[in-house]
Amino acid sequence: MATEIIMPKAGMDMVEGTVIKWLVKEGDKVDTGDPILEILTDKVNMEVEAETTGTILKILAEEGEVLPVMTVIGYMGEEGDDVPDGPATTKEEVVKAKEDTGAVSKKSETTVPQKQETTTQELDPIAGDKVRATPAARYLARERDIPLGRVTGSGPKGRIQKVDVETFKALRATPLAAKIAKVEGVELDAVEGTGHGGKITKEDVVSGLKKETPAAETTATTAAVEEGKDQKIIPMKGIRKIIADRMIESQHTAATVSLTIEVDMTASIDLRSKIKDMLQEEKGVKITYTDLLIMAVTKSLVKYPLVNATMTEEGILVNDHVNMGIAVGLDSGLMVPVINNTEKMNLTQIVESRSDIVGRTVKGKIKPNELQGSTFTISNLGMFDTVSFTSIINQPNSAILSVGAILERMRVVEGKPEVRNVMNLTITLDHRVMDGVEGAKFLQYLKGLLEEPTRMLL
Amino acid sequence: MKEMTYKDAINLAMSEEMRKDKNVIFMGEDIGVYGGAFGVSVGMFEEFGEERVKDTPISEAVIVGAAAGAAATGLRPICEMMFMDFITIAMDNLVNQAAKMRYMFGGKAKVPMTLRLPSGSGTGAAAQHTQSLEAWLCHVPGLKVVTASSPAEAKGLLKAAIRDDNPVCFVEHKLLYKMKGEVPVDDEYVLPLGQSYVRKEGTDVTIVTYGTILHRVLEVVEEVEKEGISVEVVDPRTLYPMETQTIVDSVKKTGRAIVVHEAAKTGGLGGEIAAMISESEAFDYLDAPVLRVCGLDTPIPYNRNLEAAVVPSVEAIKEAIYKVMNRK
Repeated sequence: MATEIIMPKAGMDMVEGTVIKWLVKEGDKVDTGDPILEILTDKVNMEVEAETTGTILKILAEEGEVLPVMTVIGYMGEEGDDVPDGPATTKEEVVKAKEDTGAVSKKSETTVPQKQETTTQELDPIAGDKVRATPAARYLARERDIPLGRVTGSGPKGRIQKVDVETFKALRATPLAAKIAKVEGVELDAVEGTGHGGKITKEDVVSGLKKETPAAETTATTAAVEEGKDQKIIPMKGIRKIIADRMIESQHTAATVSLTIEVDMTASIDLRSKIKDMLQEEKGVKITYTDLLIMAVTKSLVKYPLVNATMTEEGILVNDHVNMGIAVGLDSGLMVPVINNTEKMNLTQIVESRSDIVGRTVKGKIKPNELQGSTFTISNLGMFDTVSFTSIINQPNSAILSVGAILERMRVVEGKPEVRNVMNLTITLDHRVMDGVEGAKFLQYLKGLLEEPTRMLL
Repeated sequence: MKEMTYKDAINLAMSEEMRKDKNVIFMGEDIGVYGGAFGVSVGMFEEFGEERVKDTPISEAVIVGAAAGAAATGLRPICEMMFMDFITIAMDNLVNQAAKMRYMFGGKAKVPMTLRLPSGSGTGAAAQHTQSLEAWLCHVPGLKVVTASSPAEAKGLLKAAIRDDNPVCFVEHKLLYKMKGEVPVDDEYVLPLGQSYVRKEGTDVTIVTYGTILHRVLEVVEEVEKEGISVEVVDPRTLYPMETQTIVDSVKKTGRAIVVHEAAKTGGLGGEIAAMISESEAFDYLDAPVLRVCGLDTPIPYNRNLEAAVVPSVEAIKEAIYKVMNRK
């Protein structure tokens, strides 16, 4: 009589498993304990081992099938044993796994023996329902989108307190690493974790320390600091380090080209002064040139969608919506809050969203998810009298617009000198995604909208 | 402003109101010729005469019953229980008559009476002369309950109580009678009822407390400040109807709350205040459980050492602060 091979229940809460790969084929001989197939539970990849010695008689489940636990997926036994004809499982239960289960992740290093009855109940980090936390900690975690299950509590019985959420680093650290970091004053979020699942280990903190304080500490700089006391060294950590890493990464990956165009802003200035008071009265918000730019740039991006594309590993993703990143320079460092779906907004909504999100960025009340998902970025340094500049592309965007100051300049209009208000716009684009001509057309179209802003109503 | 004791401030509040309004009368056991068991009314008999400062038989039922009737028919009686403990004897007249008259007569009657109640332990007066029974009174709709923790507050709040058209129970902790402080001698210095008060500002913990124990809390607060813990102290002053927003705002600021009172823990006001905090918008700001540091659920012992041991000590208050601050 043949023995059934079943989809094992490898955990208390496992209800189904995916057959990833059969490691044997029908007719193969196996010994007890030999791995015969690989399955994916909701947590790990694992190998299923043969329970007896014998021959694989029949394989019922195809690779990629998602099956409830305890489903018969094959038979083994002595050659010539009877195998039941039909599959023991009702085929309706079988759900074809989506082709693109990216879930077939790295093979986990631990293989769980088949039929292991229980695994320790892991806390669902997202649910946060079985986590001991104070109301204040929960409230803050909700505010900042932090999964409480990943926060280590310092309160009684491991209760998570507000301070734990405040100091939570998305990268978890081992208790020892956290302690060393605390003693040495290392910012954990600047440390790269090399442990399991990106965990920060003691070694990570220590090696970071070594980098920060090279053994040859008696270099000229330190000596100078000690003698000249008034020199200051700003350590590369925290947000400074993140910015540094991202900029370098962007410079290394993107093939950048910059194009500059001059825009006559006279009409836009007119328009802004006309609606400024109306908006202030109606909605209590102040319209800025950035708002007009967001609107004009959005319309130009809709027309030239490649400029609004996102680089992905699979290729160029042409976005069907515009999420506008606005570069905001703070004393603590550069931040880019994002206004989503500006292509659906009228000018009032743009002004309201911009003042809300930029205002909250300045106040430090911005949520992490509001700093993600931009498809294009505007950086405006006009208020600092900068005439023209180029920016580093905010990855994974394909381009960034640098906005200079509006200045009164003599210009030739229909053969006569006239005083006009002009502004330089520079687009820096990723030549991997588009060619220069695409950027040039985009700029030309944008210039047209800003010089005749009534066109934006069309 | 003039420096005087808490009991003189009470005497001044009563005298000022009696001079102002001939309908205000005062009665109680030994309050006349003798000047009161704690000497609060010394000189009042001489000034206002037997008509308005009445020595009564030793019957709290009579005192409160007579006061309720007098109040309903137009006088504004103040009466003194020799000890708060004996409010038990007046309970029917206070709870079933005075507290309900205005309601049951459809608002046609008013009961502007004030009941002065010397409360609390610390004098070695044993179990029947030392209780803090304010929670009983707060549980009766129709009664207002007020307590003052300084001479100036005693004057301002008692005047407001006398002027109030409802029965007000004015709880005076015996140990405060000798406390000295600057008191406004201005006739119109009145502190409104139903207004909690931030006695001291702080950022880390809110302690809600009232009466004598407030002063012990302030001592502890000064000590823990040296250890870097900043405590805010809120005195509700009017225990019923308590103004809660001040407390809620304070807890929102600090994220931690402790209630301290001398009265026994079970069924005490601490539970009420703690529940109010967790029902309020302050809930989302709490970073520790709301703790109560209260008297033990025992009769107050006669022995001085034991008596001191059943009410919140400096150590117990400190311990609670460390606990909510998660410090050992």
